[in-house]
Amino acid sequence: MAYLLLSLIIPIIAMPLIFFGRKSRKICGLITAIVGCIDLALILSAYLSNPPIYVEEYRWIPKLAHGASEISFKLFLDGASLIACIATLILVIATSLYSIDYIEHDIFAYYVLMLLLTLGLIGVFISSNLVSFYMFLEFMLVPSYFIIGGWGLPGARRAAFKFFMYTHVGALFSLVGIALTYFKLGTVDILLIPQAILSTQGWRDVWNIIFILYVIGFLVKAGAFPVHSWLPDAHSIAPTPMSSLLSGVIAASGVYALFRIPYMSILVPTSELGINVNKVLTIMSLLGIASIYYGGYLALRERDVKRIPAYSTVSHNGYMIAGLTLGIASIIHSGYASLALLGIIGAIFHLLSHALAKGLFFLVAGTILEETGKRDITETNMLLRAMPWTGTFGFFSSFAIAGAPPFATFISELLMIVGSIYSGLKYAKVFTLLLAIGTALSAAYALRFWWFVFWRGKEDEKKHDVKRIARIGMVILSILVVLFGILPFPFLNQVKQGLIAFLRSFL
Amino acid sequence: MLYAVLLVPLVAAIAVSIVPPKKLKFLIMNLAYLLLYMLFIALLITNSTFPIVDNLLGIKNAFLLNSTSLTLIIVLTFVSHMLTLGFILNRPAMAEKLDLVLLMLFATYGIITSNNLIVLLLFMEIALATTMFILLGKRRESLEATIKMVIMLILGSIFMIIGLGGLYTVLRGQNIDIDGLSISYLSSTNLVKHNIKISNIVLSSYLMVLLGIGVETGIVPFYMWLPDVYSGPDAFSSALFILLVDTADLYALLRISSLYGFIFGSLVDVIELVTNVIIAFSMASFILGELSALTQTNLRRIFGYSGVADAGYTLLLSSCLALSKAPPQYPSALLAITTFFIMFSNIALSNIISLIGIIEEKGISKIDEVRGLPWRLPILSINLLIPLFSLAGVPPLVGFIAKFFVISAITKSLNKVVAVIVIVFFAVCAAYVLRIITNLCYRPSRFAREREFIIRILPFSIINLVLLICGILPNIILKFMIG
Repeated sequence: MAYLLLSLIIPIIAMPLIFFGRKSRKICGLITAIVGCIDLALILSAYLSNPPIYVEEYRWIPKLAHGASEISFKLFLDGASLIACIATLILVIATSLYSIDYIEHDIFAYYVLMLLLTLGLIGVFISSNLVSFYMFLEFMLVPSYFIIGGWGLPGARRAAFKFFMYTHVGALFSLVGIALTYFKLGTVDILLIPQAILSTQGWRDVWNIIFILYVIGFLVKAGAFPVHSWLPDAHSIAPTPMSSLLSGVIAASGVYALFRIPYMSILVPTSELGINVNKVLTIMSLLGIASIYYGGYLALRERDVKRIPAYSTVSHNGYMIAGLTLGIASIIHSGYASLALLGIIGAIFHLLSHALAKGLFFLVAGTILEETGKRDITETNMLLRAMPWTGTFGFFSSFAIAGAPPFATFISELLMIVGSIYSGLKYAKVFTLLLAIGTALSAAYALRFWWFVFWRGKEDEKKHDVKRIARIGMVILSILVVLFGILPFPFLNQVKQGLIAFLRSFL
Repeated sequence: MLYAVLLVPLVAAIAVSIVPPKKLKFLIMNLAYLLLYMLFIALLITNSTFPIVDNLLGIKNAFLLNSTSLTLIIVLTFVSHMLTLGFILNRPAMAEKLDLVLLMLFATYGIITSNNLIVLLLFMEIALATTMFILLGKRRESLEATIKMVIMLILGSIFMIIGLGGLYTVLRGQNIDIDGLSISYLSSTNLVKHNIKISNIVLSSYLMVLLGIGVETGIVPFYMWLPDVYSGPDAFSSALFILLVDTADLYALLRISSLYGFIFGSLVDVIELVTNVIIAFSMASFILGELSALTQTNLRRIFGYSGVADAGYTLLLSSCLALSKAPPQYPSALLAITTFFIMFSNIALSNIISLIGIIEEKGISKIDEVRGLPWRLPILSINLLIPLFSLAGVPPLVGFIAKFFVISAITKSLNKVVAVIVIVFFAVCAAYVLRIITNLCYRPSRFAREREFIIRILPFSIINLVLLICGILPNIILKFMIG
């Protein structure tokens, strides 16, 4: 059964249903949430039918040059893409439920755009082909651009324009990288690139250019330092459900792309050819660490209720980049022994745990802004009593972002820190130390947020709390961020199995 | 069969110009298109081997049809049919120009299929005359644009005639086949390689022909007329010009400018020189085109400059083709993907201009005036957004695949720095398109929702559907184009 293709078609099929139910916000929101549930079921069914790597392939573009292969529309699912899809669909479900009371105008357009965004996100995570991968990555921009600009806070048009242009220009760089990869290797299949690299003459001369092109494109998408300036604007001005998705999975798709293409497909086999990639890995680790500290520092001195989580995303994406880079270094240094895989597994798992925690964090921040009308956290008084549900969700999200146990972020950060020890780079221990201190920075701004908003000052008058339907989505996120922290093993194991199967094909 | 394809629009044009009732004109036009579709099907079924070659009045191999040019012709025919239907549904007075539309289609077929430089020139002149009559209108801007265009195109023809004369002298009566039949003869007899004088004449004549066709497609520095033609005349006439004549001219530019790698064979110095000159002109064209588009406020002028940029990209792609040194009469993947780019860029542009033509009737012609249009005319706005996004290269529309092909071709054949410059200007293109979209979608309308007649917008929606389907499944077209 074509599970993955179906998961891309389901959001399109749901659009006419949204049209018929456009008079009711509840129906539209529920349809979108149900689409998320169906897609989740399809994705899980696909994976379980053939673990650790499930593949579907369809004919698409004929071969464009002598010696090159046809570009097929190939979809795949391994542990990493499964994790990314789960994160996406859980967030889609939660934000759709939250949107029911939040979105008040142009209901039909909003939910159609949400469905298109879901399609784009799932497409990014399951594409095995670089061209279709790029296609979905760029396609995501359209609904994101309209949602930010159309339903965002004042200044949304400017933020949407900046978001679109930054990420579009970045993506164009990766497009040149894709074209070069295709003509040099004759394939754009992520799963086949490593073998092609090992059997291609002259790869040594071009790998660095291709690597740089990909890295520029994906770092912009991830909003990492120093190309992050679009992220705080877009995330803080977007409508709350969109901020949640942007921060949770859209920006993380850049990190996922970095892992999947320049790192796993290009860098690991490059070392097999005897090319020393330590310098590259050191620079990338430094960029990741710079993001952690720069984003963390800005979040710590920020007072805007929605800009704090936005800067926190810069910091956490930096965490994932550093964790991945050091994880890749471990694989290059020690092969795919269990301990060497810890860093990468941790970074992939952080994609899920951060998505859940940050998604919830933004929903909390958006609710506070909506109900109190105050952007400055120093102006809010102890809201825990006034808004008990929001306060509880605030507690979950803040402590999860802080990386406290038993939240899932604790596990992912721990794995990245431990994994970094095995990187084999010259300054590995320094990097490990910096990663560890970085968690303290996260804890500082996240707990400051919770303290200022929910705990400090005199008790505030009773406010409207999160509505019942929106609450369901937030409860789901809160439960899962704890559950994955207590029982991470099934997920970690699937990521590991997928990684080993992929690495075994060429190492 | 090839003759039949060429003659149907000509005969139909004559018939349409003779019969007076508008309804009959409309009927004849549709019958002509129907007949053309049947001929295309017959061509596809009966001719499994391409290229098909035909003679004309003693000129050997005057016409050549390969799978790439046939696909181009089929797609242009269908889209021009849809555009014409859309025009007539929106403005019945357009029926008076149906004979010119068919004549333009005839000239387009001629330009695309001509395999002889003299025949090409002849069809370009027919296209010029037809365009002139179609563009001429009562508005002052229309008259100015037409005069400018005619002067420039005559200048282009003069360059071409001089170049042709030079080539004809050297060839001493040989056929001047575009697709390399006699030029390959030149190359194979080492005429060019070992005789410096002949080599110089051939080079300068070739450059003259190139210059001529460059003028006719609006390459910098001969671009000034193109934005005027996009913005001055009636929008529907401009749209037809873009779709048919401009596309055919760009295709001719591609074929002729890509020939030098084949003509000059192993003369590395000459090839390097011509490549550098072509790259310089093409970069000047797309840089100036995209940057000028960014600064415009008139909607149609924005796309006029976008047309200049497209000519630049086409010229750049021609050097990729030249460097591949593939025999030009056989469609290579590179020729197919380059034609794919030209074809779909111009389809998107012509659809945009047509839809702008409809909104101009509501008094909207500037970028600031489109604000809130989706609340006023939602169906039309959605139809306008699709080609706009395609032009910006946003997936899953065909513009994305076209731009991917351009970058692929440049990355493979030229310097990677050129590829990076191209993507920077693709981003500039996205910026001005996004500027329009931002104005369109995010500002409240002062007007209430107006009644829209879906049937009047339907032909443009069908063209948009083509942009979407070919974006999702490019294989449908490409497979056949490559042959």
